[in-house]
Amino acid sequence: MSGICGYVGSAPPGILDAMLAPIDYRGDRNDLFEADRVGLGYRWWGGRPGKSPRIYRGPEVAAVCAGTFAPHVDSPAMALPVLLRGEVGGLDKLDGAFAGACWDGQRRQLKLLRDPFGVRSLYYVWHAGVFYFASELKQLLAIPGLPIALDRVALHKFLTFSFVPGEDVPVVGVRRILPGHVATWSDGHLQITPYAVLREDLDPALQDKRQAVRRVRTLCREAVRKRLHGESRVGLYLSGGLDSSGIAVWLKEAGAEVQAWSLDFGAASVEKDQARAVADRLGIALQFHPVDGADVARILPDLVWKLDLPFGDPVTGPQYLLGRAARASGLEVVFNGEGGDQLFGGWTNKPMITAQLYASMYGDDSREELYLRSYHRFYGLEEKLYTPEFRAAVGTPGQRRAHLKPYLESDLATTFLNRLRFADLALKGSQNILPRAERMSNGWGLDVRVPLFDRALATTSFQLPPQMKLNGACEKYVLKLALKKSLPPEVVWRRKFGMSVPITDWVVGPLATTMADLLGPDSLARRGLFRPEFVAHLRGGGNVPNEVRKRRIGERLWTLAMAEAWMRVFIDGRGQRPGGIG
Amino acid sequence: MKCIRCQNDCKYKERSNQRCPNCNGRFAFEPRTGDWTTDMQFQHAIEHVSSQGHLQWGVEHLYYELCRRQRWGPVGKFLVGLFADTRLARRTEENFNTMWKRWVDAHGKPAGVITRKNPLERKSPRLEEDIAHYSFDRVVICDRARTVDILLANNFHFENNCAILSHDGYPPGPFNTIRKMLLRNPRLQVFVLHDATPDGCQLATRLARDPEWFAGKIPVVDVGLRPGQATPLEGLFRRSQKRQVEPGEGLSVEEAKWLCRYRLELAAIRPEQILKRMFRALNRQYDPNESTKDGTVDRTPATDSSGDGGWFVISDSTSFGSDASDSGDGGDSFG
Repeated sequence: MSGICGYVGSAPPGILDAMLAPIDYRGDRNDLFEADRVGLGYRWWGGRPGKSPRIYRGPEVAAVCAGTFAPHVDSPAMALPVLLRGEVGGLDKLDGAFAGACWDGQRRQLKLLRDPFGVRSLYYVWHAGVFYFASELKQLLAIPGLPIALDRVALHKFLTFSFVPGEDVPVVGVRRILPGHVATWSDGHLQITPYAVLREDLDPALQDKRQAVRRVRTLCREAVRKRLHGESRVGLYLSGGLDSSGIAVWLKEAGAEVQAWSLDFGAASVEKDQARAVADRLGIALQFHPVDGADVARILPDLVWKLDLPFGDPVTGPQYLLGRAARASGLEVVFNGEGGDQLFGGWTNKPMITAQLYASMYGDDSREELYLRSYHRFYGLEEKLYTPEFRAAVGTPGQRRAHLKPYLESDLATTFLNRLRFADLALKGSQNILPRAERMSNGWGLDVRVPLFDRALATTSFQLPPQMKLNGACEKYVLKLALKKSLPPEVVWRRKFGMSVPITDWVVGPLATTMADLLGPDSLARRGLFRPEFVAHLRGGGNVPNEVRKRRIGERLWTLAMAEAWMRVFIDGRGQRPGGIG
Repeated sequence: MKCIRCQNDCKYKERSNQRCPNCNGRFAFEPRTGDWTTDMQFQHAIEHVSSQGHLQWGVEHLYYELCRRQRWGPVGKFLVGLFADTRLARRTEENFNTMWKRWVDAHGKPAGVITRKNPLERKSPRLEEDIAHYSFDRVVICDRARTVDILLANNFHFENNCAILSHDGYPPGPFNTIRKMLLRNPRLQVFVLHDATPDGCQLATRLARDPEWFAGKIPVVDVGLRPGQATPLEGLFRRSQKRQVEPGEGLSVEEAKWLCRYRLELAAIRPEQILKRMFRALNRQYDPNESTKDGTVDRTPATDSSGDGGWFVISDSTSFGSDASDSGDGGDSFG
């Protein structure tokens, strides 16, 4: 919950109110600060522990901060100027889920800051000589007179990754600050530098299995405790997989009263029994929330609007519905188990390892290309999907690979596994999983807590020998060892199945009308980006080359549908809330 | 006859120089002078074998596709009816290499034909040391290198976290590393994919016993082509090179008898069918503790002694038969 905005320059009157209005669901009250050609805005829910109670106003300094620190402080906004000055440890250990801004009136300098892993977002744009920033894109689109045009290169990247990577935003001129970075605006220029950098630093002591397990278990417990801010009751999204089950264990150990929620896809559910077994073992309340394609069809425009950026993973619809149900039950905080795969080596390593061993037998497969293929969207299918006009507009080759090279060929690690971890954390974690989870929770006034994306835990994960993460073919080995006495064996040792949203059944069933509206010939012709024959092939249940998995049809169609829906709301509709849904 | 480049339909006298009068493109074949196929028919065969350009394929798959098309023509049906054996395949094979060369000369090499890079030209990827310390969820072991190629070139390994090797050392570069990596997963799933030949049909049993491979440690699932699955592919058999095939080592008496007369290559199955069937097999739950189930999954001890805890070979024929209706023109499914 909570969101911020601000400007430096001669902005039009009333701009802060205009920029806070689109995020009214992020709180029940506003605070505004305005001085000579500078303004800060803050919207938040009052009475929630760990949140700034107002914009901080000090001598020559004003600061605003959305979100919370871990461990929490009474006012992150008040702490921000001190930390930015390098006092009390500065930013070296700063952790949590936050995005803040600090104005130094004496120097006429603005600093913007995002949390280390990117739970909270921060966008910026220059317009008519004014520098604007905000928690959400839709706030910037409320700036009067801001030209709004689709950034086709960003859309092209979305169609590969299923999310928009890097600093790109699919609106020309709008950018975002990367997680773990500080941006300094001064005299009209913006300088962006990282403050939280992970590096491999293998610790020989952790070769000892017992020591490694003890260290990880201690840090996981601590990561959960740090994110409990005194709430009497917290929610937990419990999938029945290892990571969320682990969070359930550590929440119980911390003495929290836990209400667990789990998605129910009917016959397509794969981990219901495991979720039930965990709840029974730990003695926590568990509620299943049934979701089907018809439910998702009803909420689609609001889903797209609240997501703010396009996300092509079909899990967002069920997450939206789960967030709504959890909030309606009275919860204000919800934990999840995201991050285990990124930190401790989930299943995504294995295809990359396999592909690497066989690389270049028939063609030239760079490491980056193999990684791009692993997203299973439209990489390599551009000629089939894109119209010639769109193809010509997406620029030179190599732009997508450039996002990966700093991680997959990083000098900050020597092992393949840890280079993959860098890429997974920076892309899948920070630019996909975390922002979409934050929006699907905070869209309902639920504060999301993601303990496994913890700075100390992440640092330790890069001190572990890689074989403590992927041991033979056993994923997240150290985490399994840390939890084996606390959870049922079938939860700890079974092979990962992942979230099984039955998206292909949905897009050809209850979502077929929605697909026809978004991806029918008329819509495609109006937009002029995609070849109708290829989209029709997918809509007819046809798969793409080399692909036999049925679910890939739905995943690809959903990605295209989200692209079109996003363009309708954010480009055609200038980010205004779509009608029909309250 | 239609030109595949411009779709112009022309009469024989208009194309006497074997060129299309409309676009001047060369024809590869001329039925009036004895060729049994037209360029358009050959093109359709390529499209079918590549699943409309979606899959990578080997020239041998095209050969069998043409055999199949000839088989279902009037002459082919007559021959199959008369002999039900190898004559059609043999006759077509004699012509195929010439036809292929003429096609490539006239139209260029079709997209999707698997071409191995010359090992000398292949840039060996820079591999970090730790890669060799991990393992795979599963492995498919093939009786010949070109079956490995079909799976690798179509990214089967990447999609299924699956090592793919031939039993005799292909691909040579990473073979030894990968074989060592297999042993790091005690829950490895092992699948064997092979032609219907004596060596192919005995491969699963041999691997299950071989101390260099999985002896006594891991069950092996045989998902290859066996004589019992050959009937729908009648007419595509080849003459066996062995006069004597002894049963045992995973071969039944009936199979040995059939293999004395014939062999049948996996390439007679279209790549799409092979991939679908392998995918289905990999996702099937095989329980080595159950005995014969519904006559389609069979387990046999891989060790000669009984009751010594040795692991088993599981023969699966159902995974291959269940999508026979997907085979388009029919006749390339087995099981």
